[in-house]
Amino acid sequence: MADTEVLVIGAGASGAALSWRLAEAGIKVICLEQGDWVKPKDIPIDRPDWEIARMTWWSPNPNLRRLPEDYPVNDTDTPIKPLMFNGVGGSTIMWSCFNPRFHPHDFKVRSTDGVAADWPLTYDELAPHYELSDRMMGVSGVAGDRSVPPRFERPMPPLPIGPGTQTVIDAFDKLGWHWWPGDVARNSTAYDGRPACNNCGACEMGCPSGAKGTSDVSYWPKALKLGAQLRTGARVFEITTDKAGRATGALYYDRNGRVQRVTADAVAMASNGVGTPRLLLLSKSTLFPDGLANSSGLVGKNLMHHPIAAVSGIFDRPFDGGTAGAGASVLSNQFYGTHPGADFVRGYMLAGPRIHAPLATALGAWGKALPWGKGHHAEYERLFGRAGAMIICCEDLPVETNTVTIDPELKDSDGIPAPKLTYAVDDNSRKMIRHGLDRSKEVWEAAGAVETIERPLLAQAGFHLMGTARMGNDPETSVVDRWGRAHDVPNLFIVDGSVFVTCAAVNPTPTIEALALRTADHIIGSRR
Amino acid sequence: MAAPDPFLGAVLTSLLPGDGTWPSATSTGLPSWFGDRAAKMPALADAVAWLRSSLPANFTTRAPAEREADLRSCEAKDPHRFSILTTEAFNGYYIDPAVLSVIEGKTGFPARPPQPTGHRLPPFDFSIIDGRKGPVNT
Ligand SMILES: Cc1cc2nc3c(=O)[nH]c(=O)nc-3n(C[C@H](O)[C@H](O)[C@H](O)COP(=O)(O)OP(=O)(O)OC[C@H]3O[C@@H](n4cnc5c(N)ncnc54)[C@H](O)[C@@H]3O)c2cc1C
Repeated sequence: MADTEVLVIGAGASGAALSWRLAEAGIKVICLEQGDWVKPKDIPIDRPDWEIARMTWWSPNPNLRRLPEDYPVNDTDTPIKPLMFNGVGGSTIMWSCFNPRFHPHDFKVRSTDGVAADWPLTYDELAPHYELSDRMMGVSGVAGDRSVPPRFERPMPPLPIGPGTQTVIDAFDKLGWHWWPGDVARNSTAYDGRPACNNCGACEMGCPSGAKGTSDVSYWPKALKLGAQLRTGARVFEITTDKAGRATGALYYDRNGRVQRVTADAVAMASNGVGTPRLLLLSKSTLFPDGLANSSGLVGKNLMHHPIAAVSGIFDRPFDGGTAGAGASVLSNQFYGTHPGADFVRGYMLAGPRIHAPLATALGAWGKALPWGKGHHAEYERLFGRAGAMIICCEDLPVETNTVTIDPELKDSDGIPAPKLTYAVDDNSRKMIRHGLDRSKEVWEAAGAVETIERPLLAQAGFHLMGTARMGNDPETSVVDRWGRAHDVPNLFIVDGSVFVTCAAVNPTPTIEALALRTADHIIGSRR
Repeated sequence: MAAPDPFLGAVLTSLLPGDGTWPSATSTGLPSWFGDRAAKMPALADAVAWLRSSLPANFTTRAPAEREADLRSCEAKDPHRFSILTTEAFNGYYIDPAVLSVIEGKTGFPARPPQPTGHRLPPFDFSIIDGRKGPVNT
């Protein structure tokens, strides 16, 4: 008999959701996670040097953070650097918790735009799992946005907005453009035993109070109570298979560097859009010479990010200095999806304003290096508290040459080969970015900004890792089926962002979780 | 804590001179913070050593305008190494309590880290979406 019914690799957003749902149905689950629990005191958000920590040893970029549980990523061939967190809760520990959903047309871009591929499922099929994910993570917001299908009221009312957000809303109104308060997985009121957010404005540091919906405080406590087992400090290096080509479990290094084995009836990959293809490509065998579940050759291909651009608007009056943008931002779907007359297909979401803190301002976060010497303070005063950034989140199209591969030399601290990212922004995205920059400038001009600064591509913005083991009905052109089950390995599932067929122009996590919950329900259903 | 180094003090004050209510680098804890940082960060120690060997021997006693010109010529010679110095100078300066309280005085941004206090904001005002709200599932 196997050690467990389902072995989950990775305790982040998708692994947590899957483990909880399976445990709730009485299925035996073991989850292996290379990192550890993050304790409130580990989060350097109450230290005077919190901004330095955020840019160095507590950065979302694992290559800068370099904690023992992080694996290095060769990012020399990509202008967008990968961001993630390795620990219980995964990257949600550092996520900004913006919680939008895909729009229905995002699931069928081949049909509507003749590009990429359609998803093998629809928005309506996923909608119940989106709702469940919102309740589990705790979402603040308000239903009634006419640019998306009707929804149930959100579990909590919207978060407060600050003066900068109001300025942006007024500008959108002046232009006659769509806007709506964004859904955010941050408690506007006490919720599910967690306190209300105190609007500290630094979500990406991690949340010591638990007011931010992170998977370690939302799903995991419930999953553990239901009997799921979570092994931390467990770094998987191979998914094992038998002669019949079924997954049998995994081999991992424990905290002491000893090799351990877990056997399972089924294995679910939840290691994110970089970690999952890395492990599949490493799990080579005679039956799977190109890596596990890779007969299509698509494992590690079609890596998508959301190319993120920004425009800073500088004002000659205070913008949002007092609270440093701690209020929630708004989004605009005015240019979401394909737009008649545009020289690109698909579209982007505008979200803003983003506000930078004191040190980030000095270091050039608004897109302008500050001078040293005599002019420094005058320029600082012109920017700090007087600027906001409009964020342009572009839909990336899948391109086979954008990849996660195994680096021939780089290894993690256990000697496991590390991934390499190869990625270029394609022509369609470049045109989309140009359009977004111009429209964002219009917003700032309508708001009364005296200057705008373009940031055409943010490098430290590879936080959405998608597409590297995509879903589809055809085993020749996809890695998993509509339930996340590998075409080649009937008891292997993939539940993280790797399965995305296309990536829409919204943050991915609600969709990742909804898919993981849906796969869980499929596993539960197949067991009956 | 490293003993204050007059050379570093002169460099840092040239990078971040006082201006109105803004304190000069030497009136803050930056010089000693910077010395400590260089002791732990080889790239910074290297940049400081390079600067020391590149600047005139009498750098600390030269007039401010001359010092600025000296530093600008070093910056032109090796912008990367120089940027390590400016980044770390800004790092130390903008976490200094004296500097943060100037910022608080000028902008209202509180001179404290984000937690544990956070910020007080009025609750969401639903009237801003009056007339915009579409259908909702029930
Ligand atoms: C700074 C930042 C801001 C973000 N903001 C947003 C946002 O506002 N909205 C949004 O929707 N998304 C946001 N995201 C993205 C979001 O966090 C991810 O989409 C989401 O967490 C992905 O879930 P996942 O389960 O696929 O992977 P992750 O949450 O990354 O979890 C993967 C887990 O697998 C573990 N793992 C990997 N390899 C191994 C191995 N070999 N052995 C054992 N364990 C392993 C890792 O340690 C990690 O814990 C943000 C991310 C970052 C970093």
